[in-house]
Amino acid sequence: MAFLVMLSTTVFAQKVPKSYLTKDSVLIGDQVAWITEFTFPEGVDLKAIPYKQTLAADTTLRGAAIEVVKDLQIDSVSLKNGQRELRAKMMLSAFDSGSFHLPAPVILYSIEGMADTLSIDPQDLYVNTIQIDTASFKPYEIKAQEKYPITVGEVLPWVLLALAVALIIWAICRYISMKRKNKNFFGKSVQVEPPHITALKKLEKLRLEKIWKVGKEKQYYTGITDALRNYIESRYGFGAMEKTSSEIMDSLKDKKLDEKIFNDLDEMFARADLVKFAKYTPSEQDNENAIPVAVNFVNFAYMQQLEEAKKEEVK
Amino acid sequence: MENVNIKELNDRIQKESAFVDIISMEMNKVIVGQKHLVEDLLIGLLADGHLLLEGMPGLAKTLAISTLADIIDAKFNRIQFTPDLLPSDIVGTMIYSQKNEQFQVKQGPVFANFVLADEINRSPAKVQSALLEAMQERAVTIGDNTYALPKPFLVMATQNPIEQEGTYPLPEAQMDRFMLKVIVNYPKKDEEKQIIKMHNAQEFPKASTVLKPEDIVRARSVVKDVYMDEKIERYIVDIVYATRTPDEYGLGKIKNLIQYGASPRASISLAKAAKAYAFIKRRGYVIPEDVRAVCYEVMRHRIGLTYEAEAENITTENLITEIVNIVPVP
Repeated sequence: MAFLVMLSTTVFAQKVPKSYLTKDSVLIGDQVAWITEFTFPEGVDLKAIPYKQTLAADTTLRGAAIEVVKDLQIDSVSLKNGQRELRAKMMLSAFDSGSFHLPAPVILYSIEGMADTLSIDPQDLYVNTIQIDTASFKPYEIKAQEKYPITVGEVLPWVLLALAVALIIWAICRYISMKRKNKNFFGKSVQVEPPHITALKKLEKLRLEKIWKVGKEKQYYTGITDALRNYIESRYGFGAMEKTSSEIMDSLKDKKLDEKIFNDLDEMFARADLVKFAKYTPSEQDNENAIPVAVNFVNFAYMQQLEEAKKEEVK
Repeated sequence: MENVNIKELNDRIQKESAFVDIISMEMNKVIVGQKHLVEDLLIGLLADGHLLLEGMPGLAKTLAISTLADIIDAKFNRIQFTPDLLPSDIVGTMIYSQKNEQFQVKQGPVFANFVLADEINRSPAKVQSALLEAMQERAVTIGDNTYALPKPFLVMATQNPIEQEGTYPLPEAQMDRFMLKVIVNYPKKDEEKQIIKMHNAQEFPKASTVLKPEDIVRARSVVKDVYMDEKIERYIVDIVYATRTPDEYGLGKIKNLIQYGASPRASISLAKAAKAYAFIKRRGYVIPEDVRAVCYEVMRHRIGLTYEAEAENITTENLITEIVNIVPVP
């Protein structure tokens, strides 16, 4: 008897749950929250039965399309003087119009080994539908996809890139075109020294330095032959720098050179080879004569070139 | 003073190289055409190198070397390489003599001044190695004793370029041991007509013996003294280096065609052969022409071609031409 009194004291010590729908009337497809607030002493075990199960077990709804959007969940709100304030919430929706008597959600609790169900009141929900006047209703056209205007920020990098590429191509074309006309990039004429002038300058420098007098015959003859090879390469267009002396003379055979100039040049190249590769020391006279032989050849070849150019013009 | 030395050397070479003209004359008596082959034989002989010949059968390869042996009064042996040949068939072996009741050495055909290794690629690697080792060491070990090969010692190996089946191609490292690789071409029309005439008339001139092997050994020491300027040495190094690093010489286009470049042996051989060529031309100093004259023979078997080059039918000769056309002559 004392135990029953104690149990009933404990059970009835809690407040009566406050349960309500946030809206008692909704449009079809709208959502509504069902909130239940209640208090329990600390340490009481609680368990919420899924509302879907409760709905399925209910016979009064008879298949009405009440949907559980978010099922029953219990949260602690506060804890005061050993009492927990709790709040159970779920979200419902309906896709049938009409008035529905919703069964109460089931929350089980157990105190000191004794289990029971929390007493919650069922709720009524009225689901309205949209009234369509079928006589005046006119459906709207489906709207096409919205087209947003292209912004400057989107286009600007591509425009700049195209301009840069065009500028580079133009600069390359101009450089090549100007180079062909012996002009620099800005259109100013570039003075290219004719090959015979370059050769004669080098030979004159060697003549004035007279390095053979200080035992540098090898450098002296290397300088003369290099100047001549460079000139021959520019004048006749074959790679004289990569040819041996005899190969150069062979290539000059058909160039209609004066016989004496050809023979002198041949002799000079042969002597240069001896100096360069056989430690030969030529006489002073040979050294003095080497430059005039080279100069004669350059002058003759240049004059020949001028005559050829004149003949071409006459043609 | 140095000038006098070169003059003296020139005079000495003028005197010592007189026999070159006689050898050429005697060779030309017997061999019609093939001047290039005769010249290369002389280069090999004077530069103490060996020759690898590639050419079709019947191009007077054997006749050339046997005639040279006749002219120099030297011992000549011909070894026909076959798949069943053994190293002892070349270098010799120990044979048990029942009479003396002991082993005695039987020297092989390699013990001669001139050896013609005919179709060297018909024998397996072990036989090739035996000959190539003898070529390198100029000595042969049989049993416990080492025997020096006679001086001068010149090996001329031949390869047939068309038959590849059942052959054992010489590995690159072995090819490197030949100083020169000579490609023997067909004689010209006039030369071939002259050959027919000689055979029809059954007139086969004989070469006279005009030299002794000792003369060649002495001439070799003179060839070693031929002056090579530092500029020529640099030119040789440039040519050889251009096969290894074509990029550095503005030959990027052939970089992908070369699998491996010429070895330092190529530089040594190029220098030796250029000196011998200068000697043949009766000069006491080397000029760039001498290097260019022997360049193809020295380098053609020392450059490895890539698959790309082979697919495009590019030969080592093409690459050497590219190189000598770009490397500046001193």
